[in-house]
Amino acid sequence: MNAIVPQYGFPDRYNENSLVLLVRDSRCIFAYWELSDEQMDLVTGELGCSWGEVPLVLRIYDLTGLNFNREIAHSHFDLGVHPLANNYYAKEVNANHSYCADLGITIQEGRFITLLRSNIIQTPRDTMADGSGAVWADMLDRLAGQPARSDWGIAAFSSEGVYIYVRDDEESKPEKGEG
Amino acid sequence: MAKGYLALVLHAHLPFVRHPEKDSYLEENWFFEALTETYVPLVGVFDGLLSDGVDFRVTISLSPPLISMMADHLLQQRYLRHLNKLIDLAGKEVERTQGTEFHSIARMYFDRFTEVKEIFADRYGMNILTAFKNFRDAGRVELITSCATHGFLPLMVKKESIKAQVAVAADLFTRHFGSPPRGMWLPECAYTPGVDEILKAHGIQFFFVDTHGLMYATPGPVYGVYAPLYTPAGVAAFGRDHETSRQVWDMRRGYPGDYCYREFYRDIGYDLDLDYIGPYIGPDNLRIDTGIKYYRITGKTDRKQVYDPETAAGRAAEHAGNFMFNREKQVENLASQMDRPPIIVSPYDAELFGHWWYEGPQWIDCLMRKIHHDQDTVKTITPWEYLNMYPANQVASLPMSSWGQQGFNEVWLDPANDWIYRHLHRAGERMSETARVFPAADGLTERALNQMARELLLAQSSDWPFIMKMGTSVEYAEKRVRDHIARFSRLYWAVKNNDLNEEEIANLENLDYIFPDIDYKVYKPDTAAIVSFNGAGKPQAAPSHRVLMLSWEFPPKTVGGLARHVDDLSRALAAQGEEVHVITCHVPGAKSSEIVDGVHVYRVYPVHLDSHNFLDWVERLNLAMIDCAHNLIRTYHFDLIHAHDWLVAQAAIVLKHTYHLPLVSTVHATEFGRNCGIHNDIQRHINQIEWSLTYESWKVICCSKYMAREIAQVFQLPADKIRIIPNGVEVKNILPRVVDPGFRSRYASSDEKIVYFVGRLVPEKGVQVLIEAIPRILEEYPDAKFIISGKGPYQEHLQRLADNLGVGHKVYLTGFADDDTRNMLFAGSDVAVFPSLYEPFGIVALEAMATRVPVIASETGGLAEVITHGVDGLKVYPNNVESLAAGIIRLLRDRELAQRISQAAWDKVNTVYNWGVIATDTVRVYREVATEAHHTGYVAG
Repeated sequence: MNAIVPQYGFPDRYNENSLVLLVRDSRCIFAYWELSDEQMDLVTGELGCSWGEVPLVLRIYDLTGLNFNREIAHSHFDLGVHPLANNYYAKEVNANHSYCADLGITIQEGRFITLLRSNIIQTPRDTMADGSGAVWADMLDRLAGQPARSDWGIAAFSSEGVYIYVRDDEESKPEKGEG
Repeated sequence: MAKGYLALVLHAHLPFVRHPEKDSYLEENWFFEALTETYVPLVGVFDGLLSDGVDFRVTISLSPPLISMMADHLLQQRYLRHLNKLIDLAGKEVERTQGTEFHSIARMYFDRFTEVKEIFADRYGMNILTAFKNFRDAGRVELITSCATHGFLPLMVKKESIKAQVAVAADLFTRHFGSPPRGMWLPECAYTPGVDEILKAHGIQFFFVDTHGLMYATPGPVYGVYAPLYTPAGVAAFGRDHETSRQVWDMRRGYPGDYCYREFYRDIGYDLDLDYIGPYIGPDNLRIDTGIKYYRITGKTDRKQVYDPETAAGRAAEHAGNFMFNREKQVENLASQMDRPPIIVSPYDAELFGHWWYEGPQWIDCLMRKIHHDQDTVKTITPWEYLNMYPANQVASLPMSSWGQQGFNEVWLDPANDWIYRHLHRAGERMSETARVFPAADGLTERALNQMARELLLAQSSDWPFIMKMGTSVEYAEKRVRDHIARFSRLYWAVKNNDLNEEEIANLENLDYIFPDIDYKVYKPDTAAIVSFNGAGKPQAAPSHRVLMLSWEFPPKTVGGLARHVDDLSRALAAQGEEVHVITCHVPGAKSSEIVDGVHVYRVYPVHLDSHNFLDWVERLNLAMIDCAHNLIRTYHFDLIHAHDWLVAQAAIVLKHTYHLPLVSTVHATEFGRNCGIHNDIQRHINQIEWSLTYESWKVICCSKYMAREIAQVFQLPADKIRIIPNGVEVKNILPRVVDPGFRSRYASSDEKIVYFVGRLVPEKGVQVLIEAIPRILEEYPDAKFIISGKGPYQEHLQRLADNLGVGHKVYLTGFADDDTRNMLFAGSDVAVFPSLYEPFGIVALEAMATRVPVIASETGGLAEVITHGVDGLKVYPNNVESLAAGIIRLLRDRELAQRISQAAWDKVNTVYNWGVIATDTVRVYREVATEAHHTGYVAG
């Protein structure tokens, strides 16, 4: 059995617009981006300069506890990035906070124009939470198809943050010692 | 009733390494070593415990790649071959060490390896998975698995990617063991919120996290890590106990560091003579571990003492007793603070036991027996048993965490490896997109889609970024990521462009043979719209082109740099989604039509060749190409023609007019430039053809500013018709394999520095200038040897010139050197020299730069543009003996300069002259031309 190893070309870039955030740890997030040729041409056309002179800015918004609404973000900070760069490690972030980012340019009058928007991520805790509000559940009840003793709402997948709220009625009291 | 429980968890995993394309492959040894030192010995331990009636519980996670490798026939055969060789070597060692203090240890290895073979081949018929199934059926082992290719989940952006990693794993496990896994070992214990929902959806009841993964839960865990938590989705999370972890893992104070234990780093593969050990180590006598080591750790010293198996065994028993004693104390302490018995979760990489810590399996053996016989405070347990005993547990949400250094994602997201993620994410998006577009594919399309899924999974293995960060086998890891992404990409475009080829797909299925029953539909998004977490950045689907490329030479016909250029360019274009069809000249032995690496290649035979006139032959070639194109165009609609050099001009022009296809040409060199003017009829004729090609072309591509000026002048071309795109170099084809130390000695003695030239032996390459400079160089630096590779009409003249100058003994004309030899010579040389008189580009200089040899070249033509003097190379005046000699002497003398410029050259080659960049620039030219054709109504059809 002798397979042949093909020598396919490796796609260097995808000529698409995207900005993606990843979490490195509780105090550092990583952003990578790519701009399509069309997008870059548009920008250089508008500004009348070459791409190497474009004042590119990575703006990071703190969205902790909010519903992904950039307009009401708690705060944001700007990082000047070299136009030829395509990634950045941002270390000015806090643990257990939600963030998203825009990649854009700042023109005169300090106005910020967004070119790309990123996904929303959440940095993990690096300290213990307090033990208040502890909630219990019984696995065997769950397996037997009974409704969970404690009910909680689960936010959509990914890193918007999972919020637990406990229903305020009789059913939510845990019953230990069963099973 | 026990006061507390110990859950020992062994996580067994290796990246999927299986290379059917070669008879043996170095990295497959990782698997063979682990089998010999860890997996089979552990099986032996558990077999023994079972037959001795010892009651014990262990949780074992076998990752899907490991399961696949253990069940694979090819690898089973190769392992047997490896094991037989090992037994053979051990036998020889027993003889060799007769009468020495090493003899009893050699005997030990011989016996152990023989025992391993007995267990592997006889007891379990080469499929060791049967053993684990038996242990599970006997109720002693909880068998679980990890994600499909051990992908690092927190760094996956798409939900479907995580889902596929879990689903494919659960499916594979079920196929091998008859029922789905109850628990899952998350790769690197890496958890992120939302993973629990996916686990739940696939029937997984529990998983493991590192200590802080549980301790930082919200709200905080009442029992710390000594009881599990339920995540909001209802899956149980068990947290690692810090104390048991430290006792075993700690390099300095943990058990494995004890001075009596076997020293890992004194292997006979490194210590013994090459003549003896050669057949048992790596290819080209690369020294690697054999597994036979004679020394013990001894202490913080290089003077290691001889290993004593009996003392070590005794120590292992002591350590097992110590561990058990500590657990009793720990349990008593915890039980007094909790209102139920605690569970102490102790997860370890399985490979720690036996491979890194040779006595590890013995330790486990002793531990299990002692716990069973000598006390009843602590009992071993599996997580599922504990959950059934104590089903009511606290609910909390767990944060993102891992058991990697620093506790989060740092190891896998680092400048050494962060480049991979844009590719992995893009491929993940494309996989989901394609799965959505083909809800029920069959036949060849289904096979292609399933293979795409395999390539994506293999690229996602967390081992690759881990290895890149740790700096061990970086080249191999990078190669694996690039290969799988490139193969994925090729399949993606083939499916999208409906350009499927059965042979090609079958080849990939054979090459990357994992998860035979995979179903690509596992990537189909659940919701109607793809849930992309990419914000509002709209992906721009760049329309691709179908290109008809004409080139008289193409591999395997490689006369000059043209063939390699067209080959690399067409592959790089295909990687970006362009569909390229190349028509070229036939070569005896090569196929007349095939798809190679995503490029369609057709080879034509110039018919009725009865004339020996070169120009006649060229005309016949063009007629054959036109014929071939007629047939092709009946099936395919092309967007444009791309012609390379004057030899295919006739065909290009005829086809352009017949089919109204815009024409782009690349001029690699001109007759005018080659001969410093036009001096005879033939040259005039060729010049005329070159002119008409540039005249008929919509755009003319050339490789340097120098060439641009030349063709603008010679052919009177307007500037906006010319596009400058440099030539590229495919680095991975240039990098030599391990350079055999014996290789260099064939060319020069060890104290001689090598100055190397390669190229066609014709006057314009300037080799005569080099030879004339040799006497001057030898005066200042006598220990230099000049190696000249290549063939051509000027060869004899050069040899005579060297002899006449009295330096014949310092010059070695090797003749034609194949690519491998040439690359190894570059790598083994101290200076590479290119003294050309005329050089439109000088791709060979770039190839030299890619092997990190310092380069010195003439300041001429395009060659001058490739090098920045003093930064990434040295430049000298063309046709000037003094200047060339001075430059070479300087490089031979100043090693620091040589080092600096070769590093800068390497960086340059990987950025500016990278084929991906060049392909993008080329596609831009295609787009210009295709758009213009559309607007002007040229493409009437």
